[in-house]
Amino acid sequence: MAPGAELLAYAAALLLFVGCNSNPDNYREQMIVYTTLNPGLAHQVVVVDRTYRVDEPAPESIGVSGAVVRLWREGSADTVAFPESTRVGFYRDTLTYPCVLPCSTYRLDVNWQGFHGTTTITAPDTFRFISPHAGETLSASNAPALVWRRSLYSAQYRIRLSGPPRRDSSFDLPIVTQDTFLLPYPGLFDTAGAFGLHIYALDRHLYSYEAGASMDTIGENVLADIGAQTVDSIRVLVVP
Amino acid sequence: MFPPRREGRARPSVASLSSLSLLAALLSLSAHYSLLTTDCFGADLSGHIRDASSGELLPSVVISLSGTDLGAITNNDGYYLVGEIPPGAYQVDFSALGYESKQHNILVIGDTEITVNLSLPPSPISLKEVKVTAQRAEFKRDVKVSSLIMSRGELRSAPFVLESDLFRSLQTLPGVTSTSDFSSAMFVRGGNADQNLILLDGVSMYNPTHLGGIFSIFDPDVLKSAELLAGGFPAEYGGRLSSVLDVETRDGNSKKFAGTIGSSLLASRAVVEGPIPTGSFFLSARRTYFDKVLGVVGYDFPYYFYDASGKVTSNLGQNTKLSGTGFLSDDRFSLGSGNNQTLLEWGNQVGSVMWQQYWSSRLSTKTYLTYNRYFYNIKLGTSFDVEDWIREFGLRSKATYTLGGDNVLEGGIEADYSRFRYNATMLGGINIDITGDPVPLAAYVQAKLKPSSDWLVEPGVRFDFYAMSKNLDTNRFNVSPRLSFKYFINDITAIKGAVGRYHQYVSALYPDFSPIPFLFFWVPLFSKYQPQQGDHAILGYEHWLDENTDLTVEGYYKRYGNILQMANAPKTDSLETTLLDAGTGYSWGADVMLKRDWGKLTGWLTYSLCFAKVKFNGLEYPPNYDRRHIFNIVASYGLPKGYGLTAHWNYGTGLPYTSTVGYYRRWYYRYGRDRIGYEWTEVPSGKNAARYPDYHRLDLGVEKAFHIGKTRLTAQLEVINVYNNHNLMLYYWNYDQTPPLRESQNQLPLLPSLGVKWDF
Repeated sequence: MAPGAELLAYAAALLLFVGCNSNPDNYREQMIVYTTLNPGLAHQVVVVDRTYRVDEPAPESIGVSGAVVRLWREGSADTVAFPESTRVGFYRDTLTYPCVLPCSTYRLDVNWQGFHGTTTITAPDTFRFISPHAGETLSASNAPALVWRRSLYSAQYRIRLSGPPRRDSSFDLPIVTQDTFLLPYPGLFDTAGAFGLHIYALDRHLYSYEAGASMDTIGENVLADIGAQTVDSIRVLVVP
Repeated sequence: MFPPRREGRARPSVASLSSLSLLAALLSLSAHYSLLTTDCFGADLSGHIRDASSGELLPSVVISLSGTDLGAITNNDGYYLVGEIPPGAYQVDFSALGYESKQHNILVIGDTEITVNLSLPPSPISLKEVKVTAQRAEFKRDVKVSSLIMSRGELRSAPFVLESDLFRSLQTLPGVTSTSDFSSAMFVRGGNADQNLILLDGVSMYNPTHLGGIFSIFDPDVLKSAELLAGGFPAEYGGRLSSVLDVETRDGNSKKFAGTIGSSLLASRAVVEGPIPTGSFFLSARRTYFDKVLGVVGYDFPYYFYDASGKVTSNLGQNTKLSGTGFLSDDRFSLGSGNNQTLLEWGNQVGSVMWQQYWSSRLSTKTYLTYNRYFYNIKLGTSFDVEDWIREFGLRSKATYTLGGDNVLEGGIEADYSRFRYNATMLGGINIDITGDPVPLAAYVQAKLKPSSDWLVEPGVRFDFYAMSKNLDTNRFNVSPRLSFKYFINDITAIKGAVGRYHQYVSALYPDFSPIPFLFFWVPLFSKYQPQQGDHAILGYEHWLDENTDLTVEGYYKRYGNILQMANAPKTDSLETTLLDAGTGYSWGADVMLKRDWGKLTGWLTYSLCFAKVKFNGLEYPPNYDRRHIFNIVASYGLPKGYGLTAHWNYGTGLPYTSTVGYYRRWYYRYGRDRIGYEWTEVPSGKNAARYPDYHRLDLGVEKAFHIGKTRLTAQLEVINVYNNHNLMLYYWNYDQTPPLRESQNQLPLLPSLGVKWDF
């Protein structure tokens, strides 16, 4: 082979070599932690789970056993333990009183098989509807404005209707706003009946998740969706 | 001898030179060459060359004075200039591929101007009758770094998928990467798809595609030429980082009324053209017909597109040309009505008026007044309503002055007034509003100089001023030096190169994980961000294997700064600071092209090597258009009795993607049921760390022309993906099974396509 041709062959081989990429398998197991604290509930739940390799069958049970879950108010020495409930992976406090209060900041700490994650959450304040009033009769053809008080430490409000099945399926999409009102929305009530109106005040973490943010990293190989919310609900009667 | 520069030609640049000193050097060089000119004696021979049958101005006609090295090539406006012809008697040869050659005798007796305007009759002559092809002649007269020209004939005979398409043809050129059969978006030499400046008769286009990006809106029947400048482009082009696609429509037939009617499986189209008192006109239209055909049997097909264009050209004497171009396109998908309507609509409305004036044989100006409106609307019932549009009014003027010898000086100004509007209303009263009214201004000067018989040098510098208004409260001023050169080793071999700096002030928004890049939403530069910036360095080698076979090898390195892409989770209350991520990047590689322009077998073989990396938020990764190796073979073969064969084989190594290495339950609060639930979610690999399998596809076509009287009927059959290779578009995971099952979505299968065209 002529020297020039040999050089060309080497160059071609080198280019092909540097051009090839292998498909990496860089999987590492991670712990998953989820909770949405709600000051309005008697008990709080923390879910502890893990990731699975893509070729690994997931067990039928949800979550992992044996995690140590603790919650305490920032600055307080009183720790609330979350023992594992009867459902695998679900950890629930056993207090006889609500362990989460509005406008307070809590630290959540989770340990499982060498994984350790810790983070803080601030629960939004309670709030209530200003308009309409509970039990008010509304007209389906004349949708009202919804107005509520601001909730401290909330970043976003989520509105949900419950009641008669809707004819317009497009309203299945979430109604999310950062304002403390929803202007009259044509077609909000598209049928008559008793409706439940629910406003959830979401903290900034839930706000981020709603916006499509990825999970937070709260420790080495620990991913978490941790948030808090408060809710106010009323019932109204909608007439044609 | 050098003719005036052909409009829309790639010329490169240098970032390392101080821009002001480059400008000063340019002006002093021009003065130097101008002084030389005044000392010279001789005549200037100039004129326009036309097609004798249609009256169309002919580019690429080779003019040579027998017994001398003097000569020229007509530019895109059919104009040529041979300067400083010493006294004497000469025979001037005019020749072009596909036309009868003509000779004209001139007698030069002093420092005079001689005008020779000619018309060449079309003729299927053989190569032997053409002494020098235009491409071969251009090799000696132009630097042509990274310039890839597709002529009208190449555009009309290129392989097609359902419809002939300019962008599909361009994807066969070296340095151009496509990411999907379902997208005509181009990624040039490691640059993103929104970094390509697309010009139609001088008007910048934002989203010139139909069917969500599958076809371009340019009908090859009305195009004169398309030139892709894949890098190192000259100072007259600005506003984009990676490439320029300069598309020009042709003039109508000024000799007789004529036309073309055609139909494919997708659309029907028609072109009519003819003479007007001082010039010509053409009108063209194309429309899909599924909605009309199916409507007859009562089926409401929800989609159609159309495009229409027209051009009027008027020659006011020999030295003045006026033309007006109009262009419309619209795509509309509409399902349902009222509050349940799903609507997707986008389109372009373009108009331009061009005034070209030859003040003397050496000085000419070309001025455009342009208008462009691009709009895009999407409506999903009452829950989502987006209205997006851009309006631009522009003025651009360019002056070309031929100095002494083979030297040309050019300068120009550009001024635009742009309005960008994006308004989205979502359920719950959420409103996203992005507005901006930037005023881009630019001025440039560039030259083509021949300091010795071995060298061609083309320096230039561009000044951009981006005046912002409304929400864009910061002005930007940037200087972009450019330089290209060619060194002739001998008559058939040359080394060439280019360096340059480029700036970009707009960007398109689409998620970077999308396998199909829809370039729908464009946003201007917000005050938080600096203009996107790119530097090109190119070194190439060109060698003519014979009179009509050219081998070009070019290596390049590109560096990007402040490049913008859509952020993963922008915040609706602060879009001007969270909508975009700013990053950096680089790409390098090499392009090889072996092209045969004339003969029964024509076509090109290309190989492209590219390495691209971008870095956003501290993470460096290959972008999803980083295709490492691309091979293309494009061939046309003319057979007797009106038959013609075309073939295109494309091979590309796999594109990067973010693979799935694990999975987990992502828990969330189910508001409808006031309890928590989960959905399976992937654990991704490193960003774009994996690659899809290699892509390859063979398309074959055959056409047969029937001559019926003075008309011609052409039937075309094209078979896409002849061996039905399962080219992968993407993977997705089926979590109904455990472990999850990887499934895939393929691209186009074997697909026959028919077309018929009647030229009269």
